[in-house]
Amino acid sequence: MVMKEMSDEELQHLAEQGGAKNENLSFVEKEELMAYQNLFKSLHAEPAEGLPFNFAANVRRKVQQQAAMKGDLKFQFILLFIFTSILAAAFGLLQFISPAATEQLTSISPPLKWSAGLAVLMFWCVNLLTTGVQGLNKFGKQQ
Amino acid sequence: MFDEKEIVKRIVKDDFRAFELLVKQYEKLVFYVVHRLVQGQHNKEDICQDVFIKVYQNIGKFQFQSKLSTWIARIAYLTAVDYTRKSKKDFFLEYPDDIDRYHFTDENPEEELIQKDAAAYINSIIEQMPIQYQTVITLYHLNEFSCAEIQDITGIPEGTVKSYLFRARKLMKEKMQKDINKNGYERNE
Repeated sequence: MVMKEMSDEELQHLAEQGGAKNENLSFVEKEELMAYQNLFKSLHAEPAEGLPFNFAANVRRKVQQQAAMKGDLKFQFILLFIFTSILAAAFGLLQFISPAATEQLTSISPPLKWSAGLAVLMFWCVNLLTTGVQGLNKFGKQQ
Repeated sequence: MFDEKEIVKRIVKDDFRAFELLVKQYEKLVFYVVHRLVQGQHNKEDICQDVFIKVYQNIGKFQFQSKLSTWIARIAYLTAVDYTRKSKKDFFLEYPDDIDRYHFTDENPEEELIQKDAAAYINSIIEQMPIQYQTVITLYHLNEFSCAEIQDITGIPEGTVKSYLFRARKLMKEKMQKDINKNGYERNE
């Protein structure tokens, strides 16, 4: 009577269980089983190279810096919002207290008005840019 | 002991020390996933860093419906696949549509040199296989995820994971046997 040879699926299953109860196997099956066991052993081996020992600290620093930069940018926008709100409130109050003074203010020559507005906007943009450059420099140094 | 829930809670409250602990705990897992799918040590490190930044940015959304390791491995897998797809536009065209018919070629002059180092030899064999095979082999054998977890990580149905795993291992075993016989024959000559 010819014994049915084990399939690859059965051999893989047996190899995963450590190849126990293999005394009833034929020579060919034992060879195949050993080949699978060797393969599994190699597949479990850790890669030779890995991440640097300070990897976790580097990632933490990067995330911390990104969070700080995000916070700085948020602060800049809050600053702009507060400034425009104060300006609008002051203008509204002036209009309420003295409409004549408000009219006088709005009649200032347009170039002067635009220059003042532009100066404020430029100051804010420079601030924003500085925050961004500082953030990028920090990343550069860290990397 | 590493308490996942406690660590996540602390990270959500911007505790960077807790985040560093999480990175230390899972850096090996992420590296193993990225290692087989991406070429070049420098790229691997950058991708691992990207993975953990994504983990930090999204940890607030993690609801503990799966294990934290499975969730992180999924981010690592998707990031590595995305990177590989971008860096090699024809990446998915390199492999046959029907990967069940995939087979190794014998045309590799460097193979003999690599065979001297068992680990490098195994890696070189894995690198030649389709990405689906590389992924299931790595996640199952190196990261020791179950087939169900691999389904959660990759989105490949569990039955297909099992089939890829079986076929990849069979192909690798045959390739190794063939190479051993070839080397033995050449030495005898």
